[in-house]
Amino acid sequence: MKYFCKINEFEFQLSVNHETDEIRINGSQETNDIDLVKIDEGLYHILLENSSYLVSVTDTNIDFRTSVGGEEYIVEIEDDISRLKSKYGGTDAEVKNLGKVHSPMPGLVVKFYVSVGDDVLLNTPLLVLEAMKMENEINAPIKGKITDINVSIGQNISTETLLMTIGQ
Amino acid sequence: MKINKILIANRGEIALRILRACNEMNIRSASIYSDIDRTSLHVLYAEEAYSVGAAPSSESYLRIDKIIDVAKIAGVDAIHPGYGFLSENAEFAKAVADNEMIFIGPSPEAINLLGDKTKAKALASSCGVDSVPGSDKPIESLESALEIAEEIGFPVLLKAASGGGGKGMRIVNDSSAMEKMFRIASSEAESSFGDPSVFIEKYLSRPHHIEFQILADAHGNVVHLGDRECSVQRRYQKIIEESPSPFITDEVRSKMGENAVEIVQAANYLGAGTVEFLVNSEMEYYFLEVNTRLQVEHTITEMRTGIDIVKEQIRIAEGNKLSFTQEDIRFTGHAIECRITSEDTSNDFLPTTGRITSLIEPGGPGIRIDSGVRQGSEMTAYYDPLMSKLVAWGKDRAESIARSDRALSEYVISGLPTSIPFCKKVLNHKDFLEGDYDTSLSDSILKYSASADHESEHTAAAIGAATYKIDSKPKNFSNGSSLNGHLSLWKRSGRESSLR
Repeated sequence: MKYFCKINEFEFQLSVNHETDEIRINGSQETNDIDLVKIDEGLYHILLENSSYLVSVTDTNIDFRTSVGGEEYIVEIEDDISRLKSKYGGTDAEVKNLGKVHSPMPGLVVKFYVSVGDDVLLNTPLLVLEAMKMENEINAPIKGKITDINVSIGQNISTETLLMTIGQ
Repeated sequence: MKINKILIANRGEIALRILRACNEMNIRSASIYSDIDRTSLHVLYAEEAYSVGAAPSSESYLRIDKIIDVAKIAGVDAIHPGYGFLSENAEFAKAVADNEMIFIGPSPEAINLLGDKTKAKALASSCGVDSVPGSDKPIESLESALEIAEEIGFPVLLKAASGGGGKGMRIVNDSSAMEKMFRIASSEAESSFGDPSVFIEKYLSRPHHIEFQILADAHGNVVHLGDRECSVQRRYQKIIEESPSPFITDEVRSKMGENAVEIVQAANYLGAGTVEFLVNSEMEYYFLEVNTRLQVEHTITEMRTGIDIVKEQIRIAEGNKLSFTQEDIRFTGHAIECRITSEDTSNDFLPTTGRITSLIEPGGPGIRIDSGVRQGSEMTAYYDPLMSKLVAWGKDRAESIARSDRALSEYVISGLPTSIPFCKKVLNHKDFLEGDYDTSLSDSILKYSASADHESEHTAAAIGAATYKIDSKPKNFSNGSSLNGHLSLWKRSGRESSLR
């Protein structure tokens, strides 16, 4: 997942691989040596190329108030999904093109048709969500391979919950 | 009379400050709390604690009847009111005395006299100290407001007669703005203090707010403990204070100190108090008011004089003579206090509420923290936003600034925006560093402008914020990723290709 961070006129693009916890700054080809430890809720310690930063974060629901060494950095963050949404008016197709399958409604996960590693075609049924006593099949928005399933049978989920990921 | 037990009629950091003095003097204490303060630090540290009602202060910390009842149940000899709440309430001071307890502060008569702005100005005038030109009684009408303003000259300041803390206060630059400002100031005064009357006075541009700490015993001895420069303010509220003032000369300082002592003597004052002055750019000073209580910023005076003002208050209340004279008082070094408040300084200083999710307090040479909060404390809209006071003493002003700045860098509070970044900006501002600032300083401190020197801090901030965003996603976001676990680790990223 890509995160677009803005601090005043500074812009950063962070690419995060959620499986390996690897992070890359501004699409750099170089290895970024980053060691991040969560100290407490809203408090992180980051060694960035061995330079030490104690970063305190508060979410105001509008932006992230970040404090490093007593100075405040107001960070606005968009991930690639929300960026695409704001760029293209949030059509489902744009979001789904990323291969991230999100729930279109709140509901209960009752059945899976696929598992991690399966190849799927466009409109292959993926899983069944029960909502308002109705079963709804969620179909693959793109062709690809299932790389991640993020929910489990019996789980109650809300709208926009990430259900599974289809990789290429 | 020896005081054996004191009721601390306050909350937050000042309740702890008084508790500590009691402990050191081997005096037993009783604390009070509202429902919402049951787990506040001042209750956790208390020797005894008594509930006085619901969260709104009007139902607890301002309830004279309940506090007197509790004091009697606890069997105390004296009540310390702290600052704010009932500390300058003559009716409370009288109720304490009527119930045969000692009010640690001046008499109800002195509170009334000095709390009445007109009488206080007359008293200062009798001591040869002018007040800022203005009306000597509340303004009756818009017409008389305009008349007086023309007489003393624009700009003028409208001020609530029974107010303080910037409420009911408006600057009027010319006659066309008078009607609107008069209406606003008056209605704000009504809603804040239950009294719509406002005064008018000449507005001094770029004034300094300088005050003197006073101690007076029951034997006619009065001393001052030096001055405090309180010109770093936002919304007319102090945020950083220092002692001594870098602005006034020693000659002016010594004259002001003598005047402060004279005014307090004339008021037949008892205990600790503060005489406040406004000083213009020509170093002409005007009497502002006397605060008849312990001040938030008493700490910087303690750091410079080595005198524990709260203990002195208690000794004076016991009827003891001051154990030192004016000549005995030695001033050493320089001290600065930064008020750490739950306010969003990037958003017009609006108070912020929420839970302190993590807290690391600074320490080391010269640092004193008077705090009323702990990790897990909730800042609510019920009480004022002061969380703690960071006080730094140094052998000179430069060291005191460097220590304050260093300690602010160490101070970590997560969970809600605080005044720490603003205080840091002030301490690093050219005018503050040069000691050449006045009450207009905080307006001139602009929003943080990112500089290239801080590029790696920006990167760290962005990574921290992104991690927080990932951490706060629903649990099912990324099973198997340690980012959702208790310990998040991002280590050594691989090659670009591995991300595809």
